[in-house]
Amino acid sequence: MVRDSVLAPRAAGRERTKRPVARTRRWWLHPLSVVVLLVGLAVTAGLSAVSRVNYDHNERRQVATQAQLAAAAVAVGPVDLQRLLGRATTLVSATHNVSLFDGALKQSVPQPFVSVRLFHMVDGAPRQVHSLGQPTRLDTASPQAQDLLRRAASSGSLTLTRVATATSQRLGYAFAGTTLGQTYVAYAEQVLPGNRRITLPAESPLADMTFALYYGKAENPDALLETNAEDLPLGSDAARVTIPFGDHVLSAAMTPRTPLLGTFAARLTWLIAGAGVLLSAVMALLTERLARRRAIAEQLARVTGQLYRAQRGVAETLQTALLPHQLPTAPRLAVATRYLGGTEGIEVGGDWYDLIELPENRMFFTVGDVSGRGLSAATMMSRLRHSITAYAVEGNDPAMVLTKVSGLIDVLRDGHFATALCGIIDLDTGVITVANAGHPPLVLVTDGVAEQVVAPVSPPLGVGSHYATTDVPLRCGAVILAYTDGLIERRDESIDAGIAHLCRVASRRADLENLLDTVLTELLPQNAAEDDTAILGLRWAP
Amino acid sequence: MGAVDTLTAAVDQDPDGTPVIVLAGQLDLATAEIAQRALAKVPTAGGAAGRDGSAGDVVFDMTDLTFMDSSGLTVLLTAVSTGHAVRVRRPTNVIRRIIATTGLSEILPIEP
Repeated sequence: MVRDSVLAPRAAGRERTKRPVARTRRWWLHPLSVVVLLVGLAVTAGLSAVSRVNYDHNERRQVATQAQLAAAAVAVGPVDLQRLLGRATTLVSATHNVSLFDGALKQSVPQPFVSVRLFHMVDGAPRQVHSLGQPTRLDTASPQAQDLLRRAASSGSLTLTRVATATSQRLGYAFAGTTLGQTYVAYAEQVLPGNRRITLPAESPLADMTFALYYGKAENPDALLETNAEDLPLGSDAARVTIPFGDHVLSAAMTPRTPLLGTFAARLTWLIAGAGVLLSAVMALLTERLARRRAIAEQLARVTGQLYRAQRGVAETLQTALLPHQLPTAPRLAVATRYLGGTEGIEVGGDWYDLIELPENRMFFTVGDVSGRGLSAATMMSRLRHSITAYAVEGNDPAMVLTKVSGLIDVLRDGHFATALCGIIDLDTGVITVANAGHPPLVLVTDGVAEQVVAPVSPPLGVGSHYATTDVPLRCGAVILAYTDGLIERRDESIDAGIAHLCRVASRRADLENLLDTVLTELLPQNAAEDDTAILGLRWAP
Repeated sequence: MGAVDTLTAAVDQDPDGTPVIVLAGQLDLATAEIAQRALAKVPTAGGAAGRDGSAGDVVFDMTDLTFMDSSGLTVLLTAVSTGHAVRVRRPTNVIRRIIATTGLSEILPIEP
């Protein structure tokens, strides 16, 4: 706490401001809350993005794996068909017994084949030798059919064709069997859904997928074999595989109906985003609350400080008003005073000093201290100061003045007592006559050596009823210091130690003002007196 | 400073019945009220060692009192004004010197 001296009473006043105590409530967020919110949202966005990317990556891999499995399942189909047709043609080519052909294939009509034709290759030209099931959709006499059969005969592999209209479609398989130069080619047709739509059984690995199967590599509507999709073609995010199928290839595109990794994994991104946004908002709100509380606390501290300074200002103004405004001057007497308010509390103190001009070139000086603090102490101080003036001017000596003034105080009634040291200094002779009512002793500085004036001490005002005077002769240039206990009293040391300290510090040749400054600086560093302190310094120099 | 000062003031009795106010801590402006309340509990007449016309003896036991300022002295002087014969028991040297320099050695006699 910084204390202001009465000598600069304006210092406190300057710090008072007109700032309104309660500011209008603000609705915008504290900057810190905004930062917390933004950081929270950024972290949320980052986590959500990472989660999304991770999910997409895993889902894509899962779909691709599913597509490979499906492709493998589809690719098995021609192997079975090839085995059926191969066994039948090999039997016929080895035996020329067509009935064996019937026997080998009778289980395969009408499923998977609706119609089967057997051709004997004679000089490279196919000649139909047998038929099973319905008529073929392929015109077997057409050049395309002839070419197909020849290719099957020469390649020895399963050779495919597709016969399709808008409402029907069949796949035709040609496979040759050769034994001892005799070659027979079987041609079989399999019915595929005319409307291209298929519903897969639930146990199928593709049951959960939307897929489309095309004849050839191109995904054009004409080449569509089967699908369970409503809209074609499937999007670019669909998995796509090419499946070897006899001498042709099929291509499949597929996409999962529901996330393969489960709906929780798919929603995780949104869960993270939602929770993150919520958390960010909560954190921002908490931050905002803390920030506002802190702001309120700071405002309270500021207002309290202002009030305190204002109170101090009032107390110091009052104190200044209660002390004499101007002390009398005399040619042979230098006078200096100091007053410091105590650090304890904001109330006025009861310390005072005074100097009154008496007839016959004499001065009456007083230093006193009313116990306690506050308005009542200050009021009593004022009363005592004026009473002492009155009794002194009446011509009473210091002892009589104190005796009369002591009767004015009732400790029970007033709640205070007072100590005071009064003296008359004769400016012609340099003799001072002092009386002491429980007050710290005078310090006399002669030729740069300070010592306390040993004189009887009577009880304080309000307690004592009889006071005595002591005469002390001064040497030319001597200084007397009268002060209150704030200058020398410390909680942790004896009052004698304080007086000894004062004497050490005051032992110097200096002008009166410098001496008082030094005393204050040395005894009250940083103006840290707990109690009020008043000092009256007089130098007699005839 | 003042805000952390504490004082306890307990009213006790000597074997002969003299009321004793046992003070411990620091007796100053902030705590004088506590001592004042303790003093108010002391009967103002009829003490065992009471003299005629007085309010009787009161002992302030200062064995554990570390500090006393003028506000503390006010409490003691209030007791004196009430008519008590006040004695101070075992004060520290610091307090002893305060009583002496204030000219109160006769009004507030000290018991060793």
